[in-house]
Amino acid sequence: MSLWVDKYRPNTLAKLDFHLEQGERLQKMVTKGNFPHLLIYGPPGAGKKTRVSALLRELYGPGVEKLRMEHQNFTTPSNKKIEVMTIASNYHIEVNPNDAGIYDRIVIQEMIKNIAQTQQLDIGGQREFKVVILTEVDKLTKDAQHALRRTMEKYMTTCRLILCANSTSKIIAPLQSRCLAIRVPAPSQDDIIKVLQMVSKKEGITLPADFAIRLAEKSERNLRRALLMLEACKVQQYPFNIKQEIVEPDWEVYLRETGQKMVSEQSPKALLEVRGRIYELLSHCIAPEMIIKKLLKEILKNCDGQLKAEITSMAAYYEHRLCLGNKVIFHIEAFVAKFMAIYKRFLEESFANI
Amino acid sequence: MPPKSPKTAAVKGDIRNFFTSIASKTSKPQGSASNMKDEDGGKRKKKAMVLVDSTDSESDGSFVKATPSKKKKVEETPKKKEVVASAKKSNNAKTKIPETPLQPVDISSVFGNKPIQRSKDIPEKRKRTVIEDHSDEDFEATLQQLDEAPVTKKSKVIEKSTSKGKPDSPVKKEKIVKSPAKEEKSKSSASPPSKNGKASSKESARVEVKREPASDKKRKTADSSVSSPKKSSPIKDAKASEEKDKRSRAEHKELDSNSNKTSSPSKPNKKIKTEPTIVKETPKKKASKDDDDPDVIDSPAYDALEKRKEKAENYRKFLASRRDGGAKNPGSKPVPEGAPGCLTGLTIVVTGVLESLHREEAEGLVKKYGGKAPKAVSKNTSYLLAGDDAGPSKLSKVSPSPGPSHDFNAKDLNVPMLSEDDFLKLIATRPAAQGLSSPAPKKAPTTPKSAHKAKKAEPEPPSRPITVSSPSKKKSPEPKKIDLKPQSSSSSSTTATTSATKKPEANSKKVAEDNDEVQLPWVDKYKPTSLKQVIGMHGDRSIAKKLLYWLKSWYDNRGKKLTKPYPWSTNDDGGYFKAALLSGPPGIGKTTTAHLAAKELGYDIVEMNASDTRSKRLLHEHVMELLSSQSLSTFAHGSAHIEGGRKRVLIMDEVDGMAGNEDRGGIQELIAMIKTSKIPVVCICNDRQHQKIRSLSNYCYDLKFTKPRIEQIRGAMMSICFKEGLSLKPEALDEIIMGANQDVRQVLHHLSMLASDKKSLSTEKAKLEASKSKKDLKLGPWEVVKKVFSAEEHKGMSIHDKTGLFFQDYSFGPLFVQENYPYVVPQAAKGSVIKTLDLLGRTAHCMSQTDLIEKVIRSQNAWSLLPVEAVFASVVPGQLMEGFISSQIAFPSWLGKNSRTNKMDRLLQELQSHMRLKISGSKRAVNLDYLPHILDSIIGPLKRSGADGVTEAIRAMESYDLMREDLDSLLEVAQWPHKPDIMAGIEAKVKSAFTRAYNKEAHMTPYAVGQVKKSRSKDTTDDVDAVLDGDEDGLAGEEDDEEQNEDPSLDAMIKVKKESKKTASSSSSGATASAASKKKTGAPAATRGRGGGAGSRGGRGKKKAAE
Repeated sequence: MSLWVDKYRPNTLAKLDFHLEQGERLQKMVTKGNFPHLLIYGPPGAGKKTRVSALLRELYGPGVEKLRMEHQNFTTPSNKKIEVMTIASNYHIEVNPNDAGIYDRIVIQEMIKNIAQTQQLDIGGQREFKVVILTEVDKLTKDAQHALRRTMEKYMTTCRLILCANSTSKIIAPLQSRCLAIRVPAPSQDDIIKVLQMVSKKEGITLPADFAIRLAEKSERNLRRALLMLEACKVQQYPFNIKQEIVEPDWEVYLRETGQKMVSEQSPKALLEVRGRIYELLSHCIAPEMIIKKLLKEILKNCDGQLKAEITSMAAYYEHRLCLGNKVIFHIEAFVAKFMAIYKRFLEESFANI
Repeated sequence: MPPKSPKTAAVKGDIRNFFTSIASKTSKPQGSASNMKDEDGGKRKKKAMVLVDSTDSESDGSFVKATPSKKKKVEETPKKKEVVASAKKSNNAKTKIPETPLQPVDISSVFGNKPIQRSKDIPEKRKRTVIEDHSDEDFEATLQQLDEAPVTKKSKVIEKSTSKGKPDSPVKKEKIVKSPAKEEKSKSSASPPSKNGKASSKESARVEVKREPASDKKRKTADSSVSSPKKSSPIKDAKASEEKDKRSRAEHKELDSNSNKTSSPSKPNKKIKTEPTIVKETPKKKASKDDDDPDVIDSPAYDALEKRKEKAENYRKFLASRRDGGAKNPGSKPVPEGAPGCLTGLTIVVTGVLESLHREEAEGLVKKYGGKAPKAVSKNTSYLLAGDDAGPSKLSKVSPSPGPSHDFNAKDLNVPMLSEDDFLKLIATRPAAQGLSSPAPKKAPTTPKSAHKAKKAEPEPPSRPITVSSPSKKKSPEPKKIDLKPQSSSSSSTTATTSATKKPEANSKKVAEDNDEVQLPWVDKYKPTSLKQVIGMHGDRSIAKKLLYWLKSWYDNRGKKLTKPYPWSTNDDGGYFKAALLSGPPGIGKTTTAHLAAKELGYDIVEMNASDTRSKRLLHEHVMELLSSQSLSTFAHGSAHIEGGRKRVLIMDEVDGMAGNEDRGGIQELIAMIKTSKIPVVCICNDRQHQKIRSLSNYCYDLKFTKPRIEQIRGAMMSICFKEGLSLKPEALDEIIMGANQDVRQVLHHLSMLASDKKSLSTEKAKLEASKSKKDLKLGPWEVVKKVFSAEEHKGMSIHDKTGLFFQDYSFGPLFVQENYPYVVPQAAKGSVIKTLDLLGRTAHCMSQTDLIEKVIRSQNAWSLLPVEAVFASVVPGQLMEGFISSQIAFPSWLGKNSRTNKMDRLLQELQSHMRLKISGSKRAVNLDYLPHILDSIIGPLKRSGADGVTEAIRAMESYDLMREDLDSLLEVAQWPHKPDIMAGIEAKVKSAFTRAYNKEAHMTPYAVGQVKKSRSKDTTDDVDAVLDGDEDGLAGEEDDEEQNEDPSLDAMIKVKKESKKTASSSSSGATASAASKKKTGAPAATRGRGGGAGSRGGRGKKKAAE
C-alpha cells in the first residue's frame, strides 16, 4: 500500500535503473573487501539512500534489512538531555546527527565511539566492521565535523562511515579527504522517463510518452518527485490525458505567486505583503536558499538582459548573507526590497523611454 | 622573725609592690606628705604613729609595704601568718620585685593625698622628663613627680633605695626598715594586714604599671580601694586618707634615710641617676598627684618589666572593654527614670569602662535628660563620669579629691568625678529641667565642680587605704565600682541586675526623631494629607475617586453576586474584584493615594512593600491570617456587618518587585489570598505589563495612574516654591518637570536641591539643570522605534543619542526596527515611490548587515561590536527613513514566526523519523515532496468514499507507520494559507468514524512511543475507548505498562498499541490480570507489562495469520 516511489525502490545494486556503471564499481568495491569510508553526495531524489541501502545489502546480506528504530539519549556538558532516533540493523546504524541541533557534536562523539569501540564477535562470513551512516552531513556544525576527523581514522578497523550529503561544499576538507567521495548525480530526463515507464508497467497502467516527458520536466530531475507526481496524477485522472494538469506542491505554487507579487507591484505595502508570504514559507520549513532561488527564477522571467545580471548577482549576494547570518528573513527581505527598488526604477525608465 | 628572713627578699618585693600600689592609689597625698616631710623631719615618726592609730588594719598594711623592715615587726604582731602567706606569694612572684620601687612611691603619694594637692605641675613635669633621656614612661613619670614634689620624691627615693637595697645589701634594707619599723611598732596592730596589702599591692602595681603613668595609677588606686569591702565607708576613707598622709610622712622619713643610702655604690647605675635627679628636684614642690609618684618609684631596672606588663594589661583591658561594649556588667543596674530634662545644663563627660552602662548608653542618657555629653573634658564640664580605665587625660583634669581637705592643684580643672552609681542616682533624684539638687552631695549645674570635688574627695580617700589593706589582688579592675559605692552604698552595685540598656537607646531614637522633624525632605514635608491634594486627583472621575469608591463599597459588594466585568468596559466600578491594582510610573502618588484613600475611609492599613520578604510561605503565614480573619467584636455585637471592628485594607506595595528567590511564589500566593480575602487588597506596581503582574491583574480592579500633566504639577510646585521662598519662573519649573519626566517626587527633590543652593533660577539655568538631572528613562521598544524614525525627535539628537536608542534593548530593538521600517514614510523621498523604495532597500540592507553583526557577536562573543550594530540597527535606518510612522507600531512578527518555524520543523522531524523505515528521503524531502502525496493517500479515500474509505486510509497510515497524531502534524504542515482546509470536504461523521476505527485497532509502530507526554495523550484516548467498548479496559492498562517501560530498546519492535477485539480476547484475560495487579503494586509492573506485551505479540501473530 506504499506509494510507488517506495514500493519499487531497488534493493540491490544489480537492480539499479540508472548510473549503472557506478553501481558496478560499488559492487566491485564490496567484493574486493577493501571498503573505505564513503561520502555519497548528490541532489535530492537522485538515489543516494537507495544506493547506500543496496550497498549494505551487498555487504551483509538480507539481514541488514531487519531494521529497528531506537531512541538514544545523550547528555550534553550543560546537562541537557538529547534524544536522537537511530535506525539500526545488526550490522549498521543510521543516524541523523542534525536531530540534536547544535549538540550534534556530542551525538557523533558518543555514538560513534560506542559503536566503533565494540568489535564484531562473530566474524565468520561477516565483515569485521560495522557501518555507521550519517545523513545530512552537510548540515553538521563545524564542531561536529571536526569531531569526526579523528574518529574516522582511529576506528577504521571496526567501523566504516558512510556520509550522505547534498553538497560537499559545506563539508570540511579533512573529512572529504578521508572519504571516497561518490557523486550520485540527478538522473537524466531519459532515466526518469525510463523509470516512470517501468513503474507504470509494473502497476499495469499505460503512460503516454509525452506525458512522461512532461512529468520528467516538471520533476526537475528529481526521481522521487517524478514518481510521486505520477501516482498523484494517476489518482487524479486515469487514463492519462496528455494535457492533464500536473499537480504541483503547494509550497511551490505559493512561492511562485510570491514572485509574481514582487513583479506586479513595488511599494512599501507590497513589500509588507511579500514579507508576510516569506514568513509563511519559512514557517513551513522551506529552505531559505530555495525561496531565494525560486523567487529569482520567477522574477527573471520579467527582466531583460542587463537587469537579469544585476538582480541575479544581488540574489547571490543576499543568499550568501543569509548563510552567514542568523535571521534569514532580514536578508530575503533585503533582497526583495532591493529588487523592488531596482525594478521600479527600471519600469519608470522604460516607461519614460516609451 | 626567723620565718620571715628566708622570705625577706620576696617580702621586700612585696613591700615594694605595696608601695607602688599605694602610691598609685594615693597619688595626690604624696605631695602633701612630702611637704610634711620637708617641714618636719623628726615629726614624721609621730605622724606615722598617728597614722597607725587612725588607720584600719588595711592602712596598716600599706604602711608595712612602705617599709620592708616593718615586716619583721609585723611578724611579731598577731598577723604574722598573713605575712607569711604574702611572703610566699612574693616568692612566687619574684618578678614582681622590680615593681617594688614603684610601690614605695605610692606610699609617699598616699601620704601626700590627704594634706596637699598640688598636682597642677604634672604636665610640665612630664615635659621635663621627656627632656631627660629615660625612655621608660614610668621612669619619666617618676622623674616628673620628683620634680614636682621634692618631698614625695624623697619618699620615693627612699622606697627605691629600699627596693634597691634589698637586692644590694641587707644592711641598707635594715636601715630602711628600721625607720619604718619604728612607725610600725607604734602601729603594731596595723602591721599584719599590711602583708596582705602587699600581695594585693603587687597586683595592683602591675595593673598600674601597665596603665598610663598618672591617670592610670589613680584609677588603680581607686580600683584597689573598691575591691576591699572595708573601704566602703566614706568615714573610713577619710580616716584612711589622713592615715595615708601620716604614712607618707613616715615614708618620707624613710626615703630620707634611703636616699642617704642610695649613695651607696651597690645600687644600679640607673637608680643612681634617678636618685640624683630626684634629689635635684626635691627642692621643687611636691608632685601634685599620686600617680606621678608611683612612676617615680620605678627604677630603670624595673621599667622594662613593668612596661611590658603595663602594655599587656592595657591591651587586655582594651580588649575586654571592646568585647563588653564598654560595660563590665551590662545591665547590672537599673536605670532610673529621671525627670525629663533633669540634666539640663549639665555637661557630663563619660570615660572609662562603666559597670552597667555602655559609654554610648551613658551618653545617651545624658542627652536624653537634656545634658551635654562631649568627648573631652573642658572647663564647662560639670562632671566626669569615670569608670575603670578612664582616660588619663580626662582624669588628670579631674579634681583629685584627696579627702576632706581638698587642696587642688591649680592646673586641674577640678571637674568632679562621678561614679556610675552617682550618675544614676543623679538622674533619679534630680528634679526636672534645671533641677539642681542632686540626691548625693553633687552640686548644682552652675557650680558643680567644687561640690563634686568634695564628694569625690570623700569616696576616693577611703578607697586608697582600702586598696592598701585589701589582700585581694584581683580587685584592681573594679575600682570604678568602688567609686560608685562609697557614695550610694558599696554593695548596691553588685546586686543591681536589671538591664538599663534599652532605655537609653529609645531615648536616643527620640532625639533623632526630633531632629528629623526639623529637616524633613520636601517630599515628606509637602506630602498630601488628603486625597484632593494628590496632584491630578481632584476630578470626580479620577483614579483616586474610583479607588475610594471601590474601597468604600468593598464590604457591601462582598454580599452581592457580581459578574466579572468585560475587560474593556469603562464604567466598571470594580465591585466584582476583591483587589485593586494601581499601576503607573514612579513618583506620581500611587502609594500616597492608596494610603490616603484608606485613611479617609478610616480603614486600618496593613502595608507590605519590597522591604518585606514576601515569599509564598511568609505571605501565607503572616498575611493570610490577617485577610481571612474577622474582628471578634463583630460577633459580639451579633451583626454580620463589620461595623464592630475597624475595617482594614492590605496594601501590597511594589508587587512587581516580588521577584527572585526571596519572594518566590509570592504572586501566586497573593492571588490565592485575594481569592479568599475578607478585606480589600490594594496592589501597587509600576509595570502593569510585566509578566508577573499579568496573572495578578486578572483578579484586580485595574486602576491605571497616568502621569499628571505639566500644568498640574506646576501649580502644586509653584505653591511649594513660594512657601519655601524659592523664586522660579513657571517656564523654568516646566523645564524641571519635563526633565524629571513628570515625576512629582523627582521634581520635589530637585527643587529642594535648588533651594538649598540658590533662591532663584532663570529659565536657561533651569533648562540646564533639567537637562543635567534628566531622568535616564528606560524606553520601551515601541518608544525606541518611534524615536528611531521620527524626524521630529531627530532634531535634538546626536549620533550618541541615536546609538543610545539601540542600547535601550539591543536584542529587541533591531527586531522592532526591522518590523516597522516599511511603515515609515520617509521625508527624503518626498512622496516619490521610487525614492521610497530605494530608501527601503537601503534600510533593508542595513538590517541585513545588522543580522550579520549580531551573528558574529553572539557566536564569537564579540560584544565590542555592539556599537557597530547600533549604527546599522538604529542610526542608519533612522537617518535613511527619517520621517513619520504611518501606522501603529507593530510587534516584531519574527518572534512568532520563528517559533512557528521551529514547531513545524519539529513536527517534520517526527514525521520523518516515523516514516524512516519506509522512505528514503530526508526531512526536507518529506516536506517538499512526500507531504501532499501521503496526505492525499490518507485523506483521499475518506474524501472520495466517505466512511467506506476509512479502512483504506488506515492502511495507508499503517504502511507508513504513522500515528493519529502524525496525521494532525501532516495536516498542519501541509496547510497553506492560499488553500482551503484540507479536511474541509470530509464530513464530521466520517472523521469520527475514522478516528474510532483507528483507535480500535492496534497499530504496530517500529518505534517506541517514548515521550511520556505522548503516552499521556494516548492514555486519554484509551480512556475514551474504554468508555466506548468496555472490553478493552484491561488492554488499555496493558498498554500503559508497555509505555511505561523506560527502556524502549526492549520492545521497540514488538510494541503493540492495542489489540483488535477478536485477537485480544485470547490474551486479554492474562493481560487484564497483569494490568490490574500492576496498578496495585508499582515495582513488578514492568516485568508483568512485558509479559503482557508478549501475550499481545502472540495475538498479533494470530492476526497476521488471519490476514
